[in-house]
Amino acid sequence: MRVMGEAVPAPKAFERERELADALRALDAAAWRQLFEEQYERVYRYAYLRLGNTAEADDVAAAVFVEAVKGIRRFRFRGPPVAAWLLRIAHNETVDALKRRARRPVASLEHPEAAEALQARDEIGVADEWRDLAAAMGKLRASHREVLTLRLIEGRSVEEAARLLGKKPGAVKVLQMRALKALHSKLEQ
Amino acid sequence: MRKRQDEIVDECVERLLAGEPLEDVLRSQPGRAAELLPLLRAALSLRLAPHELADELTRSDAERGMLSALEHETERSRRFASICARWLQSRPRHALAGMAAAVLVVSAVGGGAVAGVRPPLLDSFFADSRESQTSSVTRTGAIVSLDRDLLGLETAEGIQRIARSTLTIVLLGEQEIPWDNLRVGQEVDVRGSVRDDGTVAADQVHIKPQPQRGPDRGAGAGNNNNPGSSPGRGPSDDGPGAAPQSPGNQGPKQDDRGGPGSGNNNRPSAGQGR
Repeated sequence: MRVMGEAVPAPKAFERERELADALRALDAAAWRQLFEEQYERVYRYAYLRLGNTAEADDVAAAVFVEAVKGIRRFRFRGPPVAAWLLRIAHNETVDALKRRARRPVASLEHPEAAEALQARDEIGVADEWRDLAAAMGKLRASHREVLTLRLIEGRSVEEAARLLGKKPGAVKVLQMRALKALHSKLEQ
Repeated sequence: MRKRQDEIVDECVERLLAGEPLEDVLRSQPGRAAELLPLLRAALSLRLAPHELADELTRSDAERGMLSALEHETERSRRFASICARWLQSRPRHALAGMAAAVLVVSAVGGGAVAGVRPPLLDSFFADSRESQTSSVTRTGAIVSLDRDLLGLETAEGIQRIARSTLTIVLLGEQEIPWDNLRVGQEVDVRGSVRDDGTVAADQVHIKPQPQRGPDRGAGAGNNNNPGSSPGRGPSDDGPGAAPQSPGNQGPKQDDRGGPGSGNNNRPSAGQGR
């Protein structure tokens, strides 16, 4: 397990978002390492909370950064941070993972040992509260899950969330409150 | 005037997002602490990072994968640059002609842009920048034509062309469904941005609930709002609280809720520049 705070973080090579974006586009390895350091946990958490298991979250988090490298030339920095773009990729990869899941049985019949090992890792490695949280998120209505993801996982402002959800800021606040109530109720169950 | 509860909750959430301890946030709302506590705890549980969720091995594998993709991309662009350079050196006459052609193309495109007209061929190339620079509009109407990535919408102002972009999300109720499930006759709300040629590049297409119609409705009558009629239904992960489905409970399966990310051809993946 990786314990945060053990190592002293290296100084950031790219302090400004635009500089980072430019360096990423220039395929600068230092910029990509910085992006990975800063965003991997966030991407992983996003994937885990939507998928509810570590095996798929592993795959998605890894795929997000590979896809980001492949698509960086088409990325244009226009204000929103690179992380927002990365989370958009994470969204798409997560959706693909959900589609793949629906097409195949949960445990692979060809490799039952591997499936068992992954399941065991979920059971041992992930704290109960996180499993519960992921399960509760999975039971929420799509709109509730979206607003909580945008506001609390991605850390977007009410205005940004409103724009992305196609709602007014006031409606987002109401939705957020209802979503929190629903999440609390699912966690209590 | 008393603040609404959702505003108070949002204020508290903002403070939690800013890193303020839960106790301090609750202390500032003494009369409401009891009702706020469970909600803010739920909010905090999502906010706190599961630092130990991803193990070190997985993390370093992911980093290696990214760096290897990076090497591959770097090598590819290096190879492309060297091919161009070799070509320029070996065929100076062709190079000159190529450059002249490029100048002509750029002038033509530039002229078109100045006149407010851009060749349709280049629309998709420039779509991203234009979509983000223009203001958002909403169009409501019935779908009267469908042609892969373009649909015709009969609005009060006439027929409006709606284009699918890499970010288009199609919603049925609260579920994302694939663009391919759109049907002629469906009433939709489209939100997006107007392109230079008047087409609306859709960010979101929201299918409105279909009222019961008589048999003489026309083209759309046979097409109910049931995009879920495609094969391969699957279980929803929305659980018991899932959004309402279309009549007959044959709504879209959960794995189709990708919207912009679903399918192989409409997946925005990495390159949307958003």
